[in-house]
Amino acid sequence: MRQPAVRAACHRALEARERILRDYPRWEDWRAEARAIKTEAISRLDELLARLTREVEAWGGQVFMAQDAAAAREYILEVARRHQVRQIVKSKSMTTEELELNPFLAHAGLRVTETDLGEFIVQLAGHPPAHLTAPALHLDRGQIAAIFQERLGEACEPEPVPLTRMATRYLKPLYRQAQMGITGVNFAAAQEGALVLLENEGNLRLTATLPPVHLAVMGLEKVIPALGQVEVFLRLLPASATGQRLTALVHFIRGLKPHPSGKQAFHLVLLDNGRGQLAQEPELLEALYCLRCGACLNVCPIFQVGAAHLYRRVYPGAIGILLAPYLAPKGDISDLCTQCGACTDICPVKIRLAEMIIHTRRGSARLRPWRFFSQAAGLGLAWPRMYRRVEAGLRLLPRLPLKSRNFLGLALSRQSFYKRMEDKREMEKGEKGKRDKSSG
Amino acid sequence: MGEEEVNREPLLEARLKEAGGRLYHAQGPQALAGILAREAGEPLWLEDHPWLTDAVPELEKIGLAPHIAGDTWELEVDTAVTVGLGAVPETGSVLVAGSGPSSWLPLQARRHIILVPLELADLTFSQALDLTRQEGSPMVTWLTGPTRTADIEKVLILGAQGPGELAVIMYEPLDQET
Repeated sequence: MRQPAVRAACHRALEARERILRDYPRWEDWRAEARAIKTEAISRLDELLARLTREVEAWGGQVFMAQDAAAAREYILEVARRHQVRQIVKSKSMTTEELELNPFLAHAGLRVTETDLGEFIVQLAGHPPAHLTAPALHLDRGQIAAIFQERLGEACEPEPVPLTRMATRYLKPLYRQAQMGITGVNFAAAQEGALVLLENEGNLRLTATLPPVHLAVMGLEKVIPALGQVEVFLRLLPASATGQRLTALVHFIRGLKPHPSGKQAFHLVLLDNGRGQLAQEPELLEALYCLRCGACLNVCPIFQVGAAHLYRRVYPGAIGILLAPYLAPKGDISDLCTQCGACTDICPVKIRLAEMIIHTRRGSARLRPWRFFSQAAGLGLAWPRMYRRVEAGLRLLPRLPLKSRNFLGLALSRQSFYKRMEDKREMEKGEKGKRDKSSG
Repeated sequence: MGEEEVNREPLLEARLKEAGGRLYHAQGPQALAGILAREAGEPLWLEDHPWLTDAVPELEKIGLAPHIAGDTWELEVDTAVTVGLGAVPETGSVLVAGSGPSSWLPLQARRHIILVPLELADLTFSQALDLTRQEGSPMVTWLTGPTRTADIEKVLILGAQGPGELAVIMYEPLDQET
């Protein structure tokens, strides 16, 4: 993991966002508006999904509600078999990562190729995506060139332009060879049965247009009441994700697309996989407002250390912590937060991320054994005089026979942490001086 | 929004430039052919639209040999010229729709040139959404500059898997044109 590269990439994304925001005096109004729309949508989830289903079916699409990942995978495989699909092209979709769709389809004998450049790179590398919007963030150009050489059997100059062109050359024929294209969905307007998909590379358009079957997968929280309401999200999402006014392409799908062989078949998979249960939790349901912009990742000091791989889950960062107990496979990663609150400040839909992580921690079985210590620490910190006396008392304790690197050994040291580090640095400097003298 | 009172053409030009695109203004087939002669490369494919078919004789006079996307069409062309629905100055976006060859033409073209009716080149966001909703096409796309990627070390590269150049022509047909 190239920590400096991850941190640098996060900072570049944040700078781009800041540049755009200077032109957006109504940013806070838009955040409030977006939050209100999402609040309404989640409170009317069943009604909106029923309307969306009716409208999409009315224009010829087929809709499947999948209660869990297994049901979604089976449906997708059944569609593939019905259309004699052997090859699939796929544009970037975190929801399909959640389904672990690629290994499942590969196991069934289908060839699946990711077409977003970052996803294509991590697919070849065999890595999970490192970021919601920048999957190959953790790899540098040299590593990518080596991966291409090994997996595509062709040497390439380790520079971004030739590497991108090489990937494009490889992918181009696959769009026409594939019998099915799989995409995600960013927003679904129930009233019009319209699906809104954002992208930058043009691969999504090719994936959704050229194969004879288009299948889109969306988490059910992507539904909004009406198309007119997408306006505010089109401003917030690209600015927060990549610092753009708008992504290079925004697609609005409201019908069966033409295809050289006739009309293209269209399937929409609505995925629950724990979202319905989350929608019943008054304290936590706003995690379903998330736009997957990744801004909370870019600003997170823990994410900057290890990217998504640190969390070992599809959804990392603050939003990943909130989704982990609900989205299968369920988990608990609520310790991966410093409570700095930067995620709450940056979230374009004003999700109270830090506050909700505290709530998640309260329910965490994994953290239960530590609760006594945190409550005792809280009590001590609430009474500064008591804290100072306890601290002074602890420092008077004889040094315990613990290794110096042990946390308790450090905590009960007679010296402050800062003084210990200063002494250590001085010692290292002295040793280096001695070595230099002896070698000179 | 207060922006409706200002002349939005400079804003559209500035935003298009910011997104990596270019803006032109043409009146009639001759002026259009002049711009295409400078901007387009061959093979040059045009959507089967009266504004573009009217420009074919002018293009041939200049020495270009345009193809019209009718029963036959190519996926990989140098320049695809199509007619869009309108433009949004706030973001420098162009709305395109259509079905059949004209919608496939620009998918893998190196350059995409889009004609926009002059009177629809100053849409607000909500007007553009209304137009998108009213348009009967199964798919409407808003294009904001050429396709791009920054997936390798966040280095921006234009022309990722689609057109690497995007030009917009605000077009005014002559009175006798359809």
